[in-house]
This record gives sequence, C-alpha cells and structure tokens, in this order.
Amino acid sequence: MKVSSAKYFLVAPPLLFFLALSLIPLLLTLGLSLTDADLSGAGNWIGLSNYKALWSDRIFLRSYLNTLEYAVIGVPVQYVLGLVLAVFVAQFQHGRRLLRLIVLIPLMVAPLVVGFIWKTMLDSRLGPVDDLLRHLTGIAVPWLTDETLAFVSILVVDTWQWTPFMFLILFAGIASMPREPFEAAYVDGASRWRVFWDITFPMLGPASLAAVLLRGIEAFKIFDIVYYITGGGPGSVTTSTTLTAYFTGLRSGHVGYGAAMTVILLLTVIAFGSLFPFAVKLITRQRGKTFARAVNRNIAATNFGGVRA
Amino acid sequence: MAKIEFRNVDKSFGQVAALRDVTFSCADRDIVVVFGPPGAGKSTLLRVLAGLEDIDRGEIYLNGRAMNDLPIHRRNVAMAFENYALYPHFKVRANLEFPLKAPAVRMAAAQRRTRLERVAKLLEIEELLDRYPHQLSGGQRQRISLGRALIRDADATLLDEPIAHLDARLRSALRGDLRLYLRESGATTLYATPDFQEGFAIASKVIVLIGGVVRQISSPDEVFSRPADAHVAALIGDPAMNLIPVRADGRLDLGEQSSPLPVRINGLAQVGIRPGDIGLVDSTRSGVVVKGRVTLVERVGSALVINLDTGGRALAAKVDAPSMPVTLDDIVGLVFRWDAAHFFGQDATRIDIRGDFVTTDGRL
Amino acid sequence: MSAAKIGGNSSLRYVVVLLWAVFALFPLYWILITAFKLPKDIFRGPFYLPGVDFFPTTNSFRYLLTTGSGDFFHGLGNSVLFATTSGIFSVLFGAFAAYGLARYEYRLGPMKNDDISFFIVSQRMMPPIVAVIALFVMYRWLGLLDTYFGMILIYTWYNLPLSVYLLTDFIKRIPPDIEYAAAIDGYDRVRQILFITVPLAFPGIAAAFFLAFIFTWNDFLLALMLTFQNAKTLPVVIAAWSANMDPRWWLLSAAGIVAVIPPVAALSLLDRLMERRERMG
Repeated sequence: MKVSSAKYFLVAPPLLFFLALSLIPLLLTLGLSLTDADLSGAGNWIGLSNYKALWSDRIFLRSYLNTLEYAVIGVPVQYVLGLVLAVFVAQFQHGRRLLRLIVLIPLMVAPLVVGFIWKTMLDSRLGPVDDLLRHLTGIAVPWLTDETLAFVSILVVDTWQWTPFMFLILFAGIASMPREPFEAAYVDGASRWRVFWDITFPMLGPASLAAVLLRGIEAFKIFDIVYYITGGGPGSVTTSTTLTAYFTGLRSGHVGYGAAMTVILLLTVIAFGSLFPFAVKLITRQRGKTFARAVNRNIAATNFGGVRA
Repeated sequence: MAKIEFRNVDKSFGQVAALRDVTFSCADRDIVVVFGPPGAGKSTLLRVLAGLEDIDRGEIYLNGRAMNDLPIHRRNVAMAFENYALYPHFKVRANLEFPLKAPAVRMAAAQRRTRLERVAKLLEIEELLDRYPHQLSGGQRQRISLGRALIRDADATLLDEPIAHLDARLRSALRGDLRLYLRESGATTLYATPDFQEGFAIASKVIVLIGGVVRQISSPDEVFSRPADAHVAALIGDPAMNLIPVRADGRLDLGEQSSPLPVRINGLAQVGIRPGDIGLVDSTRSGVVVKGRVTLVERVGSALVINLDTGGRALAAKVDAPSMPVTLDDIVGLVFRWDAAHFFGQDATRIDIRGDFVTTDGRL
Repeated sequence: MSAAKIGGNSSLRYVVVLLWAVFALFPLYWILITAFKLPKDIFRGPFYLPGVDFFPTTNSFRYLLTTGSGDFFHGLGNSVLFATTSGIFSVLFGAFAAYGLARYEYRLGPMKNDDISFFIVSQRMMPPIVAVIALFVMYRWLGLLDTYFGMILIYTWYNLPLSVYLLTDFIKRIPPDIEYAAAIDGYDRVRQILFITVPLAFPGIAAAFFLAFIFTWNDFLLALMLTFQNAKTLPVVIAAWSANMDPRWWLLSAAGIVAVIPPVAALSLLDRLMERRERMG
C-alpha cells in the first residue's frame, strides 16, 4: 500500500537521534583523538601522536590487555555455564518459569550495585566468602588486594552477572526445539551425552552464535564492576579500557588522549562484531540465509523470551 | 445502472500480466461467479475492486462511484479473505461485529445482534461466538471470515474461495444455504472459485477468467452447454471434457487410430466430447470404428469413470450403469454422441453447427 | 518445549540448578540482611541469620527516609523520572519508526529499509564511552550538563536502537492482511493502527518499555559522566557515598535493595506478559 512522503516523518526521530547523538559525537571523538584537547574542548592538532603514545603507555596497554582477557576468558566460561544451566533447567517440567526467573535475577541488578554487593562479599575481614573459607580451610584469601586474585575476582563477578544472559538465549533456543529428533534418538537407544553432542548442541548453533556475539560485544565495555570493586587496582592490574579512558579523559582532563583510547576500543569491538560471525561461518561451513535468519531470531530472544522463533 | 463495472482494466505484477483488458458489468443483487483455473487472476480481480491493489489502466465503478482513487475504507466493499485474516485479539463475536461498528456505519446494538444471530445460524457457528480465533479449527475460521463479510450491507461482497477448506459435507450444505442467504440479503456478490460445480450452483452469472483475460460471460447453463472456447471447455466437467485434435485430413486424431467425423468443417482444430457422451460397447460389434483399452476404472458417486487408451490418446468416459462389465485391460468399442459434441477452431474458439448429421454406424 | 526433558537424569538437574541458585541468590540475600543490620553487627564479623546471629532493624531504611533523604531521594527520584520518561519516549519514537519500517518502503538516497534499520540498530555496537567523551564536551558547550532535559535526551537515545529493533520485529509478525481486513471493514489507517496494530503489538511495546526502563535504571557510566549534582541518579549516589566515607554498608545495602527491586519487578511483569501472549498464539 502506498503512502505519500508522510512516512518519512515516522523514521525521522530515531534517525535524528542517531545523527545528533551517535554520528556527530563519534566524529567529534575521532577528531578529538587527533588533538591534545582538554575538558573545555580546546586544544591543538597533533595528528596521530596520541596513538603513538598509547602504544607505549603501560597503563593503557594493561587496561587493553585486561579488557581482552575479560572478554576472551569470561565469555567462554559464561557460555559453558549458561549452556549447562539451559540444558538442565530445560529438563524440568514444572516450575520452569520460576526457575528461569531465579536464574535471570543477577542480570537485572545494576552493574554498579553488583559491584557493591561483591565488594562487601569479598572483603577479607567482614565478608562471608572469606569467613566461610576460614571455617573450612583456615585460610582467608585476599581477593581484592592480591594482584592475580583481584583479576580473578572481577572475572567471577562478571560471570555471576552475565551467565544468565547466555542462559537466556540458549534456553530459548532449547525450548523452541522440536521433540521428534530427541524421541527418535532415545528410541534408537542413544545415551544422554550422545544426544546432547549430536542433536542439542548442533541445533543450538545459531543461538550460540547470537549469544557469544552479543555478549562479546558487551564484554568489551566492562566498567561498573571494576570501578566499584577495585577502582582499577591494585595498581592498575584490573583496570579496563573504558575505565582508563574515563579517568584519563574526564578526570585528568586529557580529553584528546582519552578519546584516542576509546577509538581503539571501538575498532576492537567492530573488528570482533564483523569478524567473529564470519569466522564461525567459515569454520562450520554453514552459509546462507537460513542460518543468518536463525541467528537473528536468537538475537531477538534477548528480549527476555518474549519473541520466539 | 450497473452496480459493478469494470472497463478495460489492466493489472500487472512486474512482468506478469494478471488482468488484461477486463471489462464486465454486474447488476444490483447479481450473484456472479468469477471462475477460472488457479493463477487466472480471480483473486486479483477481487482485490482490485476492494482496493488492495491499484490498477494500471482502466476504470472501476461501484454503485456509480469511481473507485480508481478511492482508499479502501471508503469503498463499502466486504471481503472474505482466502487466509481468513481474523482479528486474533477479538472474540468471534467481536470479529463479526467489527465492520458494523465502523465510523461510517455505527449500527445500533440491537440491529447488530439480529444480524449476528442470522449469520451465526447460517454458518452454524453459534457455539463459537465467545471463542478466540486461535481456539478454532481452519474450517471454523473460514466460516467466521465468511460471516464477517456477509454481515454487512456492502455495495459489493467479495468472496475469495470462501469454502475451499471446509469438509465435503459442509461445503455442499453451504452451497445451497449461501445462495439462499445471498439472494435474500440482496448482496451483489463476486464469488471466486476454480470449482465449477460449486460456482455454477451458486451463480446467476459466470465470468470465465483464464490467464487474466475474460473468455466468457454468461449464465452457468450457457457456459456449460456452449463453452466459448476450448480452454473454457477444458475446465468444465468432472472429469473434464475430452478435447481431441483433428488431423489435416479431417479425421479425429486418436493416436494410432482415427475416426471420421460426421461433418466436414472448415478450420476445425479440436472436437470436445464429454465423458458422459462416450458410449462403451462390445468391441466385436459391427460398425465399431474406434476401440480403446481400459486403463482405469473409478467409481465416482453413482457413476463409473473409465479411462481409455486408444493407442496414444487418453480419453475419459463416464457411464451411470455399464451395459456390460468392464475391467482393466479390456478392449471395448467406443461410440461418440456427435450431437453433443463441441467443435473448436484453430484459435480455440467455438464453432457452432446447425442441422443433424449421422454417425457412421447409422446411429445418432 | 519438552524436547530436552526426555530421558533427563532426575537428580543431577536438581543439584546443578540448586548450586547455581545458591550462587546467584546468596549475594542478594547477603545485602538484604545487611540492610537490616546495625553497624556493630557488620563490624563484629559476618552474621548470616536474622534473629539468630543478630537482630534485624530498620535503622538503615529509616535513615534513608529521613536524615540521608536529601541525596537518596534526589537520586531515586531522578532515576525513576529518567527511566520512565526515556522508556516512554524511546518506545513512542521506536514504535513510529518500527511501523514505518515494517509496512512501508523507504528510499533515502541509496539506502532502503534494511539499511535504515541497520543504522539505527548498529548503535548498540558502539561502546558508550566512545560517544560520551565527545558528548561531555558537546553537552558542556550546549549547557546540557547535569540537566534533566539532557539526561532524558541521552537515555532516550540510549534505548532507541533496542526499541526500534524489537518493535519492527513485532510489527512485522502481524500479518498485513489483518490491517487490510480492517480497512475493508471501513476503518482508516489511523483507526486501523489504534484498534488492531497497537493491541496486537502490545506485548512488544510493553517489552520495549520495560527493557528501556531497566537499562536506564541500571546505567552508571552515562550518569557518572554527564551529571554532578542536579540530575544525578541512584547509582551515582551510591557510588558517591562509598567514595566519601567509611564503608557504611548498612546504608549502602539498603540503597542497593531499593535499586534492585524495580528491575526485578519489571522482569517478572514482563515475563508474565510474555506468558500470556504465548497462550494467545
């Protein structure tokens, strides 16, 4: 059905928002990264000096590496846990909805509050974690003050919050599977392990891709938890790119330099977002519209189970 | 003044021409069947009148108003969609009453209720009124869709294969009831169907549409007894009419066999013989010119349909009570009732013959 | 729905789910009871059971409601305001765009519908920090820093991609034939949308609103960067409190509980809504 140009008014607002609050700031950030601007926006053109400096900036490199590690270590762990949860929760006939709700709750808590909760939990003196450990093993673990442990703590907290996200997508995927292949397999005498590997897991291909892709993109943005629990420390052992960029740009006032950091981060996320699905398709030799459409359906499942295939 | 009028209407979808130079008119209260094979353009014709599609050329008039630039909701057309298009969030009752609450109508509640009851009774959906569409079977949904179209006082009521998905019993029951209901309510109706029995039972007028072109407009009887061309003839009958090509020497081409024609016609290309107009006799009888081998025997209702092979050409015959037992692979003699035959020329159009003629074995 | 349940090992699933439930819920339980503790209960070592190890008190909450109210209520009120308004606006604008993208054909230069969708939705890929540093400078220049308008604007922007994505998907699932049927029944386009499209898209609209609400409510980075005093939100207040003083965990816990309740409530409402819609098919 045809309509006049009135229809353009319908899409105008989001496009305007995009223009004003995404495109222009993006260009501005790119521009700022090529200057030594301060908080007022005033500065001189210095070309790629910021980027050169970043290359040898120990703190930035640490933060960038951390961000990569949080993503590369955290996401697979969260995926596996989410998968296990999804498979097991799916085995319940009754009370599924309640279980699913319970599993999802950590996802709902504001990341900052998550940071607060775990900071109190992991406190060596007053927190329950060390208290229980003391009772069990006699040792108290300095979660937040030891360099390695602090990093691990962030990972644990991140996993606590984001595993439900993986669960959400994978569970929706399992719940929408047809029963026939499973019935046939059990009639044929397959063990549960076999069934999982040969049927469930492959059928979760699109869902898995959607889950890892979306979570991966989010993982690079880690900020709130690190801010609250360790503030980036001890030293700068746990800091993330966003955190460092924030401190550098808006606290210390080196806006141009901070902008350059965010540009690096952006490029990383874009690289991941584009290359990852491509790599997966290559590896699994699955191409074509049906796979892509299936992935899309699963991305839509992040709307908290409301949209089913 | 005609109620519905199409003048030289063209409609194409990209390269495909769905309607070509379609011209016809219907009077008020006519029940017109748009008949044709799948893909003929029947749905397009209806949709173009409803306003769901625009036309490329020509004019459409409804009740004297030009429809060409009129938006759908102002056309006062009722339509039963082939895929029902029921409102999922309304109960059946609300679905049916929805058109009666439209801004231009605003029918009073009491009147709505009367109509609702009448339609519900006709379509046997009284117990379904408080259910939701997703709780209904396909056949039930189809009836609701039909009801929604019938409940109104539209200038034109468009029914697009409305009883196609119902079971046989309901279909034959509805055929008669629908005709009655449509007559009574005086709705000017366009009814699209590829089923000639269904269409001819309901219609007062038939528009035969093949390949987007109107081939014939006449009464059902007329279309049945005098199809305008071979394409139309091929659609009529159950089983369909046998269309047999004529050879250059004027004989019927029956594969390895041939049969002389009782009459010589210039430009004759095909002869149409209904299955019921082929008689089966003992192949050894004198005067039998054409023999056929039985390839299939099927009971259809109270009659027998027998497929025959005359050596390369397949024919279908239909007998009510065979004069002799017939089984697979039997060889039987065929007798054609020439006075019931239809003759078609090179361009497939009908050729009318006057006068009697005699078959070669002396029988008419 | 029951595909994977066939042949499940009955005891293992309970163990797994129970383990996770404990892991997931214990931290929340912890701050819940901490919120009801007195300072001494906290500093004398971790206590676990209310009524047994310590006596629960509503001191923290009372403090929040009275003495500490200034900052707390301010932050809370702002959070409520921003979450609600950005939810409404992002859904409103998102719904308009979604209807257009789902039903009409667009041509903006070389861009067609899918390209326009991509532009809007791809913003999700961009880490907020990338835009926010520039936004800080822009807002400063425009005088929008620490203003209600500025924050509502930014949070609407933040939620638009998801709204558009969700709602376009939802509206596409409504067969256009149903709207045509309404047109034929005599309803013009505006009425079609009001009586047919909106009710049918309602679950999507509600979902988009709840999600926008949750995301805005939980946001920290944007508020941290673009507010100071006037427009600060609850997470900012909580962060500021813990920066300024000795860990007054009882208060922070109480504030944390308040911060946790709306999103969790929104989630269960959303879930119930989806369930209802599932049944209607």
